[in-house]
Amino acid sequence: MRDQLIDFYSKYASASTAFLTLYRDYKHFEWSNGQDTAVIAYVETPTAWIGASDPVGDKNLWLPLIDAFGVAARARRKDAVILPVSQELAEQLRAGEKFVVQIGTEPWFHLDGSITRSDRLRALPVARQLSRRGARITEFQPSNLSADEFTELESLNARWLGSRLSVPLGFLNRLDPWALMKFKKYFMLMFEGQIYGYLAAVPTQQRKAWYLVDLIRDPEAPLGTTELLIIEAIAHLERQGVTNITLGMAPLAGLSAAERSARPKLYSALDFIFRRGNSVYGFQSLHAYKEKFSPNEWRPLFLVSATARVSWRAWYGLFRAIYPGGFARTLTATLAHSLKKPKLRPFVEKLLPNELLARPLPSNWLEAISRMPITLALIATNIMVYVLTMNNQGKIRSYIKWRYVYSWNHMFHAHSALNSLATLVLPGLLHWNLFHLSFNLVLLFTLVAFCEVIIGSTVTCIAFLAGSMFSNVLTSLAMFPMLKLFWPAALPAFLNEVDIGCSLGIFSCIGATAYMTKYRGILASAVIVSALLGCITTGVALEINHVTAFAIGFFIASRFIT
Amino acid sequence: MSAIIYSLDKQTLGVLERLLLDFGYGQILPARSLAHLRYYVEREKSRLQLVIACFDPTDPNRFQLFSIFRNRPDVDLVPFVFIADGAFGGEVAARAPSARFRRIDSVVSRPLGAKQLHQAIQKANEQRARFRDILVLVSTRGHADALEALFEAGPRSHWHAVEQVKNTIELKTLLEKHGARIGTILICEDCATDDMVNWAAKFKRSHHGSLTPIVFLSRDPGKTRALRQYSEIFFDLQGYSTNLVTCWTALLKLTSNRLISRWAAREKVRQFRDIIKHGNIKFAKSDLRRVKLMYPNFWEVSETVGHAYEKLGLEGEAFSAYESALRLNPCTPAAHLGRIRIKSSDEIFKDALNYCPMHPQIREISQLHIREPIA
Repeated sequence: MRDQLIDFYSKYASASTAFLTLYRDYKHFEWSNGQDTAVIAYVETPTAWIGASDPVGDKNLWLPLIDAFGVAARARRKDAVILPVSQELAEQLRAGEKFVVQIGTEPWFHLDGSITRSDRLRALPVARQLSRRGARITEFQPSNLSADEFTELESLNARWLGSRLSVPLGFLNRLDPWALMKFKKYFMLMFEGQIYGYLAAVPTQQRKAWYLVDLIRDPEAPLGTTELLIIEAIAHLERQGVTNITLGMAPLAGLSAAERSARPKLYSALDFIFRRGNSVYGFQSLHAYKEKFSPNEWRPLFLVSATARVSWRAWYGLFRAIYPGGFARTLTATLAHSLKKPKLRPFVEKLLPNELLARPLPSNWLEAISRMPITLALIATNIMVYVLTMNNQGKIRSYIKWRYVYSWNHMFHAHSALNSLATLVLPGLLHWNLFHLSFNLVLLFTLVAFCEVIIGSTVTCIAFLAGSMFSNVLTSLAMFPMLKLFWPAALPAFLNEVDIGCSLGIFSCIGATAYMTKYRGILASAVIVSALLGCITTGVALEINHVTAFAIGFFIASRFIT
Repeated sequence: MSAIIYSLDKQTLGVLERLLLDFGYGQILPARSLAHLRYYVEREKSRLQLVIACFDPTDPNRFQLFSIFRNRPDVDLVPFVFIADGAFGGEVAARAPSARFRRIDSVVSRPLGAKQLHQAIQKANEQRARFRDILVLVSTRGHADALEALFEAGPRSHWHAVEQVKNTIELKTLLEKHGARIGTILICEDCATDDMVNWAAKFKRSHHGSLTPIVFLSRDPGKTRALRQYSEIFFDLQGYSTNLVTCWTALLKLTSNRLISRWAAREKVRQFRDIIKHGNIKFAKSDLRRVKLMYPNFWEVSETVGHAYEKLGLEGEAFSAYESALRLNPCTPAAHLGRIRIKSSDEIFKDALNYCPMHPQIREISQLHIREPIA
């Protein structure tokens, strides 16, 4: 049955998209006058039958076929529209006062030898450049490819689909390059040992005309890949005796020449969508791209119906044919598709300087967790120490507060060297209360984790410990002579100022991370300003220790990574 | 000369390309897939000077990477740097000497900057040079015993074996047998025949030949002429010392050091030439003496340092540097011209003419200044 249909199409199909309607999604509506038969392919949606392409068969049967198609659809409580159809059919329907609206134009190339491959390459310098650099186009049959080559093409498909903003479309836009492969022609572009793109062409008009339907390229393909593919495919097909080639419809293009008098508002709306809708679907860019190849002719294509008016049910049915999931599911899938893209990666990559090779970003959460053992150890340690040192109100116990928090006096007037050492080491693990701990844990799991993922565990560990242990001491040593010289009255209070928390270690890791970015100056300025603000608002001069911690981390990273 | 960098990540390729531009590689080829890498290796072959591969745990082909270089004698001399991450990086580093990962010459972890990359490439070049542990001696006399005695006495250099041959036929057979493992060819003055000169001319045009130093064991001006343009250094075996063991020890150390530190020395020469070209030599003045001491076996470095000193107006140091260059390679015209520029004495002109008689500039200047006719 299917083979008979294919034979029938081979004899009678004239539209470029006719062959695509032989894919499995389509149903076929037949009508016969007893002698001859005509067929129209269609997709059934909840509210409409959407006919695809011109009918196939004797042209004298097209009008009665379309009428019968409409009647059959109405019998099933559905509307019916057909698109895209040729001007010839549209004029006939317009004469019968049926609904006809132009929806685009289709570029055609007449291969009469007047324009050669060299002419086309000269007109498109990017393609010529790529050809000169050694890119080669070869015709292939998927059945003749090895398993590895076929896998490479499949992964190329996946990469191409992954790079698209929208979800995969249905109807005549559905990507199925391997369907009915023995009837198609395929061309691939090889450059520097790699396949960067391929093209599938479907036949029509008894194989005298071909439609270059599927054009797939690697997102990282060199400039000119698709242009060279098209030019070389045209040249190949011309050598094989093909007389006409089309690139397919440019939707909503060329409507300025349309007969608009019957439906001025509709055409105005379509013009508006063409001009403003480029960010949703590349109407203008697609037309401009096809125009680059200087086709011989732009043929208008129409949406028609068997009735004089088309209701919202038909438009909705058309939407469902192109977006099979429906509006809600399409919107959700589009959002999910966009969110799946690793947006963080390009943002982070832009931060990194060109002269430092950072560690690659993790590809998933599991890998990220496995690359931050120091961060996880610090989180666990801080939580454990908090639990051991908190009182019933969740605050630090008094005797720990008075013995182990850092202050200049605690440090240098301690009972023993061991206590002095404890004042150096322990404050980085202590927290005033649960809020203080929680805030620092969030910073640990974000900023320190990021540092560890980018720079590595060793540098992170060294930076954290050095910042935690030495920031206060160095700040005190720096501030002591300055205060003594310029503000001696504030000195006693300064010497009693206390500090605990792992924020110094965190700021040290921020400093190390800042070294790895292009914006070191901006980050350093931000840290200085925020530390000064902290001093002013809290009245604690020791808050400057965060700047010291930042500087320690920056210095450690600079020594480690030169 | 080209370098290939392999990584699945575009950002990594971009940064590595940027870093490698500073190291003087003529062409840097980024490969983002195994097929791409294979294509470049097959295309470049003998032009390939370096391969840098980044480990990616998500790369399904990460273990097939090395198969591209297996059983390929044309890329046997190409150093291989592996940029590792995390646990696998450690595993690679630990296993690097083992058979499976033998092809890796150095491993470096990220994050890294220009300095770490430089060190990794240097180490890779040194490591690859160490595999070239066969010394070939072309001589009709019996010298091999002396070398054997040296090896028995203990390791003096990286040389593992000495093979002696008497003529070009035996030499060609040996080269075919050992291939890239032959690190240096010593030619005695008794074997400097026309046949040897023709062989050397052809050998030096090959990829292996361009990377294999030839040392001529004589400094006699008459005898050096034949192999002047194919020999890297000229070592007077008889005149170096009365003690044969001392001579051979020095020669082994010299040739070993020249082979292993070849890349580092050439990189230093390239850097200084760049600095001189851009007129910034005064900023590198303090490095000149240190560099000369670091590479005493490289006349190329001494010659460049001499040129740098000349630019700085320090003629005494320049003269001394040129002398050092000529002690290793008396046939380098640049050092002779340098000396002539600083001190125009008959002896210097005669010396230059003796070793570089066909150099047009030396001939012209010398003929204007020499008071005694040349015998």
